[in-house]
Amino acid sequence: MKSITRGKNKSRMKARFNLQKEIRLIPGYAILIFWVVFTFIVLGWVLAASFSTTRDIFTGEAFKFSTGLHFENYEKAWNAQNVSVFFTNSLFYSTISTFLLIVIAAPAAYALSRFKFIANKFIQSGLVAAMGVPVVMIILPLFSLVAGLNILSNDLFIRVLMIFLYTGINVPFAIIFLLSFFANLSHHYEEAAGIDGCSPIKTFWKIMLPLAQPGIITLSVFCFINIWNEYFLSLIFASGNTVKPVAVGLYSMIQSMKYTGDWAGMFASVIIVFLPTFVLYIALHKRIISSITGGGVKG
Amino acid sequence: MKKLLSVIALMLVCVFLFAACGDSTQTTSDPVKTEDKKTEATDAPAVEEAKTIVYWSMWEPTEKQGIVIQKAVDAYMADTGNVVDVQFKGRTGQREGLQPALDGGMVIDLFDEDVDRVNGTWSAYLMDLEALSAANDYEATGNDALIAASRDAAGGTLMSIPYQPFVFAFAYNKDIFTEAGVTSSPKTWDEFLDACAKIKAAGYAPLTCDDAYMTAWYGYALARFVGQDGVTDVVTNGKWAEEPAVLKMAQQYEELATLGYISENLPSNVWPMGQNGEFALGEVGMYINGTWLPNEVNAIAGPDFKWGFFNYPAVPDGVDGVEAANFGAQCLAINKDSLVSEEAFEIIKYITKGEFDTMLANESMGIPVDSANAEWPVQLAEAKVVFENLTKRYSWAANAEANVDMTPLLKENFIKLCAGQMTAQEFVDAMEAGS
Amino acid sequence: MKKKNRFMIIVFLTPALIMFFAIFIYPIIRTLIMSAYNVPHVTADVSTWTFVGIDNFKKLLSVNLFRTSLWNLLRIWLFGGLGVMSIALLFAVIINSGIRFRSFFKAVIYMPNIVSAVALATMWLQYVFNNRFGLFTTFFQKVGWETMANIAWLSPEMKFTSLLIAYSFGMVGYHMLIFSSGIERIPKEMYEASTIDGASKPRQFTTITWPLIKGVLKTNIIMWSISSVGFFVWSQLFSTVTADQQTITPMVYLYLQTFGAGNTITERNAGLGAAVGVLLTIFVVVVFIVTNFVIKNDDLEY
Repeated sequence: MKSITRGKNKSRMKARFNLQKEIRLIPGYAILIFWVVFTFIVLGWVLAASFSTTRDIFTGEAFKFSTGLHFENYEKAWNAQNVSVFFTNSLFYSTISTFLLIVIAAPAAYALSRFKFIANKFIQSGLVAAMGVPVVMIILPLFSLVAGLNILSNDLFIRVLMIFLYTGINVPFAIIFLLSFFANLSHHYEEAAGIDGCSPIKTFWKIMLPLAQPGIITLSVFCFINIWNEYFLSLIFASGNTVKPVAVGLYSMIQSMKYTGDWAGMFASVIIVFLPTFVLYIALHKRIISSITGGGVKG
Repeated sequence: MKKLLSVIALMLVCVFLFAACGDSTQTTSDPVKTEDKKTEATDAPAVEEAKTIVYWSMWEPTEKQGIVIQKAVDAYMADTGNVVDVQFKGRTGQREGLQPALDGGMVIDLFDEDVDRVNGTWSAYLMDLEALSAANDYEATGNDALIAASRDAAGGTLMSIPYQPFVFAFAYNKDIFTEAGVTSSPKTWDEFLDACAKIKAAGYAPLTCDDAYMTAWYGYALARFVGQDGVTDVVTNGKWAEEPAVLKMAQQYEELATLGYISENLPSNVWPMGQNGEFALGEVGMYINGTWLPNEVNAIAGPDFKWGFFNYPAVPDGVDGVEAANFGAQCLAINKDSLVSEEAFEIIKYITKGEFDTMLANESMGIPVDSANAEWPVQLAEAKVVFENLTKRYSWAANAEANVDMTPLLKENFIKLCAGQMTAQEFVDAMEAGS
Repeated sequence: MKKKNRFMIIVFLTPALIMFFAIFIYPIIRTLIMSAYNVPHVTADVSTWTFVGIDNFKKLLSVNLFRTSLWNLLRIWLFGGLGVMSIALLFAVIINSGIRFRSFFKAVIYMPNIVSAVALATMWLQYVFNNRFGLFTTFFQKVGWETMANIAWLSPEMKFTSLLIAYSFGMVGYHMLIFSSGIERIPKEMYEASTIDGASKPRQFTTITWPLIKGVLKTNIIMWSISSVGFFVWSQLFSTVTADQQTITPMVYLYLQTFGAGNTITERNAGLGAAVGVLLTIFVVVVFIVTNFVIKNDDLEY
């Protein structure tokens, strides 16, 4: 059985050029290509603007580069502040928080989506409500609570606090997101595992979690990017120069460039912030590609 | 193994909770609250402990103002040995985060923001600065009009020290004026119409604006008729139909639109397109804006742009003329619970006087506050004339934005009026209906 | 449920619930209570609050501007939602239908979602929608489509539509990824088997794909509702300093009431802001409950 499946995989992956198949797909290609071209134009404009001058941007000549490519926009953006420190901070916050989020949210989502118990719907609604409450209303009272405790002058405490906050703020999102991924898995897995003498907890970690892999990986990407780009929470709690994450650091540069009229520089800062998230997405998303051939229970 | 992970996670959570809620006994920088040095002690001890002053600033650290302030603070630290913890919060961080921090009891000694916000919204946190100002003989070299405005904003007492002032008036392109044959800036409405006609004949658009400043423009236009109090009355009490000046002013602008004196791009101008894409490129003659404009569009206008300023002209049968305008400043204030008020005031002096005041004005193309620094940047030379002729102070937009629920409607209808999409009567009716 | 499951449920839920309580409970309760009071500012001491009961809510629903913001929100949620979901679903289906360069397409479609809103908004405002040399205007001029070329995208009549287009563009990639991760789980054999049986692509969609992605559709609806309710940054970027009739949303109104207007010092009432927050939360919870009721999860085997 296994070898036949593997053989099928191999031939599929070898991408035999099947003309009839490709023709059927042309409308699909056309639609996607149209969208992609538009995306390239508009994002290309942002990129062009970052290498251009402010004057060119507002005369509609961002693509012309009549004075050449202005790399100094990037130099300025990078050197104006300790951008490398910000990157390290953001990396630290994002990776640890994302990891914690998966560890906390996946089990909870599993429990909530597959088991009926009294408080289930209530908890789910509570989580959704938490996401609906405006962030301003959550952050500022918390800040007021914490401000007086005088822990905000100690870097280590701030870092720990930030991890706690980033994780906590995203817990409802992560759980609600994962609900549907766990809900659709067949109950036969648990029954089979139960018969084999597997404890429910072990069943989850060894069997169910891997089955929800596309969802988990998508969620990790989203959480990482969310925390990387998170601005308001970081602005209020972590604006000291040593603990600042990239979003605050470069966003403040974006703001200051708007006020000094350095729009080209602003776009350069934006690209600097965008690149790592994009690189990360490229690195991670290849794992999202499904090769879930053979779900686990055959026929 | 995975079970172990979840246990570890649980433990980590507990650690975080503990850390977030627990009392921190050690901090890296000495909290000022535990200092019991009295600042009024006149006999200085032989060796003084370095004091820490916490300063939250509204600027971004990369803005010119932020850079200069950092330099001023560094100089202060070098001269006195005290430690200044200056945090650049940015406009958003300051506006949203300062008050919660103060409410929570955080130690913040010095902070700055717009004079009306500091004295109005945050008045409960301010220390009375009359004594400190007198002790330092501050006002001898201060800007009288601004300090008077600060006192005024706080109801008669000096609670904040102004700096980085601005004036809101018509900025104009001197080259266009010369080319069109406009020899002097208009002081009355008729002269204004005349100038517009000439500029249009020369092939330029006389006027433009961005959506961001439409309501400020409206405020001026109406305040010339009925004064700021009149504007406040109309806007907050919905007197659009009852106040005849509303219609009169609307007719003025209907006329401007019909005669084609307003740029056809105005309805589509989302900031900063009007100032960056029209005015700074020399396509438009006049734009009502603040004295920060030369700095903002410097990269586009270039060093050859000839800047001029004139105040909104007087109107027939109007209450106010060129002696009234919106001017204001940022200002520095000291927390009333601060234990280092003298040191904080010293920092204020570093920033607002002498060398750093000049540097601030030069770097940000702004206006100096030290009367010893009489030189305004060359681009703002005419703004100085406007400023010196002022006897009456308008708040921002002459209070046309005082009614939060009406401002968007006012903005949209005024845009339509200026674009010629509405008649004056339709404007009044629409505002009355919406209020 | 079975006894052994109970222990697991408790262990699995506890860390999440602890985080939830630590972060959310105090602010949520505070917001709820604030909505019944006049509060000078968000973190004001309780002694400064004055009780008003449901007056805040009554006032909100009678203020024209707030009603406008609700109307804007509704249109964003409904029309934007329909548009984005359809396009995202279409893209997800195409991408999973066996085309090449899947990762490339996915990456490019998702990219706008990662770029800072400030840059995207500036790009739309100053480049795409510009009425003189903007992308749309020049394109339609070149193509000779007069009526489209003459549209002033940013004038009061069109501003809302332009805002919606700009925002939706950036959101398509995000929702497409979610749909995609739902479709990916469907084993390819199902499609192949049905192709062998002679089913056409649309038919495959209605009988195989659709029933199996109901779960991610629910997720998408919830996520879209939450981001619609929090629609704020784009509004601010499309109308600086002062708010716009065309772009105001309840979150913007909340901000105005909580922090005051841009440059003028206006009266603030954080209690009103809290009331707005309560209304928005109720909306989201209602959407959640209704969605769960209408779209049932089937226990499907695959």
